[in-house]
Amino acid sequence: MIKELFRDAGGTKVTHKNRRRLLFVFFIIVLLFAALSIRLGWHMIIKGEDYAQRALNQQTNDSTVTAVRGEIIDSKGNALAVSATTNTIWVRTPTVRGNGETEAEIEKNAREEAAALAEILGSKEDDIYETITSKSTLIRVAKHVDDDTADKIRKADLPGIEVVDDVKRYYPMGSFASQIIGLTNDDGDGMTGLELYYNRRLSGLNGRWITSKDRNKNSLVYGTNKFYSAQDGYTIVSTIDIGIQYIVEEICQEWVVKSQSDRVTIIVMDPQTADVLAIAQSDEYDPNNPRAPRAGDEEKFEKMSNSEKVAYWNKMWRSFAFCDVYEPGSTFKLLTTAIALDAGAITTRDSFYCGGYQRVADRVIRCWNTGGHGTQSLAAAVGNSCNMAMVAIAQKMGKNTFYNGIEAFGLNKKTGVDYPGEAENMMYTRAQANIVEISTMSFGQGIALTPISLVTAVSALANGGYLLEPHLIKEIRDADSNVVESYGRTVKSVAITAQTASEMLDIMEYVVAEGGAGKAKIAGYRIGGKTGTANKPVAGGYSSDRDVFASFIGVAPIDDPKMVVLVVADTPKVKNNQGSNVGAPCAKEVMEAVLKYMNIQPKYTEAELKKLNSSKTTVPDLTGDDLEDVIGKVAGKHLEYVLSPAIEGESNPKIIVTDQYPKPGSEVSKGSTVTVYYELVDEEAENEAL
Amino acid sequence: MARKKIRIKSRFGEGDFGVVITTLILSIVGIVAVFSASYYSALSKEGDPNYYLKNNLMWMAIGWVVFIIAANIDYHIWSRVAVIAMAGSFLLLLLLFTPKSLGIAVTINNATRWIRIPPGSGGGITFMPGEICKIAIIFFIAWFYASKPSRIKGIKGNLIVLGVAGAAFVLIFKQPNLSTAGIVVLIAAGMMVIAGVAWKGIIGIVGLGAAGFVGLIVLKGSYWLKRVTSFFDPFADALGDGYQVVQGLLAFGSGGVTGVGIGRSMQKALYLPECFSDFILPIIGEEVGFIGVMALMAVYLVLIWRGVLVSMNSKDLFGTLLAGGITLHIALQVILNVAVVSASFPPTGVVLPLVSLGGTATVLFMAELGILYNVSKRSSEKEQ
Repeated sequence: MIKELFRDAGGTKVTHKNRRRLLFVFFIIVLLFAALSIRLGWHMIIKGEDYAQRALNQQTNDSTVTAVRGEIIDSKGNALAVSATTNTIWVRTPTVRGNGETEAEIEKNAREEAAALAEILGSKEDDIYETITSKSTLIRVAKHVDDDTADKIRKADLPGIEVVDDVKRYYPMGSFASQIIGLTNDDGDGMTGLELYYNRRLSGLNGRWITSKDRNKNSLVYGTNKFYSAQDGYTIVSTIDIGIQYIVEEICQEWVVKSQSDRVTIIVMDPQTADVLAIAQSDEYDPNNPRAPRAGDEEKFEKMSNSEKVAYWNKMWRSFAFCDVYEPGSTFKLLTTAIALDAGAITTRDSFYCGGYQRVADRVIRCWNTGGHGTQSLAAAVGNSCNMAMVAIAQKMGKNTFYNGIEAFGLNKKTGVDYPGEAENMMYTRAQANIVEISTMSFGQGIALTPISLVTAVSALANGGYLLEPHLIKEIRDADSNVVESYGRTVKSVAITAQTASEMLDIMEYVVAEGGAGKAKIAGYRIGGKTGTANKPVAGGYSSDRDVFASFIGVAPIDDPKMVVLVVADTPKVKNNQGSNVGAPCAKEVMEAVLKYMNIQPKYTEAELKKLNSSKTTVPDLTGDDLEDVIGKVAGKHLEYVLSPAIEGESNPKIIVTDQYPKPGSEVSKGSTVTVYYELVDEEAENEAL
Repeated sequence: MARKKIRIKSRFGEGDFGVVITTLILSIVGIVAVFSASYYSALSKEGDPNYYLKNNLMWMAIGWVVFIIAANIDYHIWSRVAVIAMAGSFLLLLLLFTPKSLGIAVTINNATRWIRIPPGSGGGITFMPGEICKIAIIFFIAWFYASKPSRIKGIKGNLIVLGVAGAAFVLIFKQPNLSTAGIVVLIAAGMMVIAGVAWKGIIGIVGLGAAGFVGLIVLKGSYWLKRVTSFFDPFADALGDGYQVVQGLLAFGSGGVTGVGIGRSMQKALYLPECFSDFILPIIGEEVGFIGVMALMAVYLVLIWRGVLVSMNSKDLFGTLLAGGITLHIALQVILNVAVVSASFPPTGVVLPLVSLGGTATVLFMAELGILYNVSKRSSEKEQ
């Protein structure tokens, strides 16, 4: 029996049944092969394209090749904004979560990794642990990491940690012209200022790198490999000259303290080209750390909600010179006068009477000097900053002439300066304006202008009458320093004739030399200008005399204007808060330093030379003047003054000078004090009299 | 029942040329396909792009030596060792249940399917007793019916076949290795069909098998149910259970009609797991397209057709059943492999004969094909 099990089974006949069964089995096999072939055809041909696309999506990696953002440089080639390469540290959290066999081991490894990273980066271990174990698959651990630190991290070879090259915007001049240059966001796109306005030019064109990757995202040597190189951004050459900007920034910071203002803004423009040479705003910020609150605001900032913080930042990054309007006050008298002169409504030989007040329609408009300026020449009227003369001039030329002139100076439109978010000037429309409105507008009330539009308009007085388009950049260069675009003098229209412009310069020079802007006087140079002290419009009227914009707009030198300077001090809290006391001396410092920087030699008149040598000065006639005139005239002669009796408390008293000592025309030493006797002006009594 | 003298012939000719040529074609396709498919993983995991090529060439060489030897051994010797082979195969299957500490049974991914020789924690050669069982049951059933043809019609004989196949199924299923267990049972059933077992008996067995399969799914609960359902729509869980199948389909789709070219598959770049063993067909499809895959299927079909012819022309029933069993085994492997990679059957580990990197499995296929060739040689001798 056992043998049976190992017997050769050969010899048994194969039957037809066996063969039929074999053919049957083969038939089944063929059927199954056919069915499977159809199934494969379905996947490979019918669904082929869909599957191929899905496969391609997972196999290819489309990465961006970041274009290097162009630089912003000043007109002399100094860097204002540059892009520096930094490193960003990322973590792929699934790798961290999969680093170990057991949960305890994974946690231990993650702890060790966090500790190692914390040591290299100098940050808190717990924070890093939280980041590398977070739920997102790919998350940033640190940004703006320098190369040395990045190398250390690379060497440490930590699981899931990746070091990626990144570009950071860096502002080598710090807070310098920060509102003008602007900022970029985390993605490297312009967010404010020139960075935003010229973003497209600065950012260049990103390239792409399409490669095939294996499942672990490593590149394959075969498959797709297409590289489209990035086109780097252009360099923007600004009209800002850092030499002038530096002067202006220094003086701006000095005067915001000296005048105890909320803010001082200074603009310097080349009137011949409308190039903005410098703009300083006293409340700057550090563009390298733009979200940090200003010194002193830290506690307040901590308590803010997110939306409040955004509002805070936007306010901090905002440029007053371009994005805000203010009532120019008396500085606007220059334009009123120029318009009337140009229209032939008045001549320089005309004289104007000021009785201190005047009835216009149902309103009483008064001069700031309620005692009245009496009869004055045109130059003296501007020099005295006489409101009544301006009202007379405006009424004489009429509404249409006045409005045509305002339009000729481009004040009804934006200037078109290359800065994002330029504000619109505010004024009555031609239809809305009546005699009362044009009367107040004539002396700069009821009209609100952006500082840049005022500077641009006054530049027309200084350049022979051309209204130019102001700009902040000179040219655009490509990566090889070839000039791609250049922006020179762009004439928008002829605002006034050369004759009128020349007459206006004479008037402006008179205002500084003999009128209320004496504190702007610079020995050896012919300076022109006009002060302004404007109350702010508030609900139902105007703010108190303590809440003003004190300003000065000047041209230097008059014989060959190289600059127009505007100083605007917001709410100076010093006792003498007028334009003549805050704006003019500040502008003087600017003009004096910039003239020296531009290497323009002083030409002293004989009288000046004599006085320089002698140290003597002549006492001016102050009788009938008010306080602002007194301040200007006394300063112009290098003298001090004292009121007798002294006035306590009130900072800007309404006075009329009745007498003085020493008498007018006396030769005294510079720095001597003139005692001023006066009468207080009783405004209410005046009102009743009317 | 005359005894035959066992002869060892040194010559290689006279047999079915079709079997040799298709085996040769499949070996070459296998070497190229495994090299291409494994190149990337070999490079990134082993640091040597030729790692699996070398491995495959070695086993292929051994396989051909075994083929030649088997081709020259009179196949009747297998009827004499059939019972020992079956018993030995059961012994090997039982060895898998020895404690792991002995180092005999090897467990990978929670499945104890391998035996290591010599025993130890590493090194040596590993092979699957399940694979040996496939051959053993072919020998056994061929011997069982051929040595006493009356068993084909009797109930008792068929019950013994069912019992042996069932026992093998249970032992292999316990590893667990459903695909091998299934193939063993299907080979047994197919051989019963070829032997001429009455249709009503066959239908009963098939019905029993189907009921068992359904019962298994119900018994095993959600895991098996999920595996079964995932193939209906592999994309429903493309990153989980369906991942491998989906990646295979993406490879097939990328290949389209004509393929992306040999060596240019992208899916082999670590996307498709097992891309040079069980899932080699999708990579072949990606590289040579639908046309190439159909050509490969045609080669298999020719081999199977030659196997059927050899079986039909065998001069005795043992040769018919032996050749039929071997042909069935190859056909079932191809069908199940293609069914799995084309998302027509739940994913299960079935290699594509000679084309997948198979190691010991390749050697066993070559042995079977050598035996098939010997059967063809004997039948031609008869005609002389």
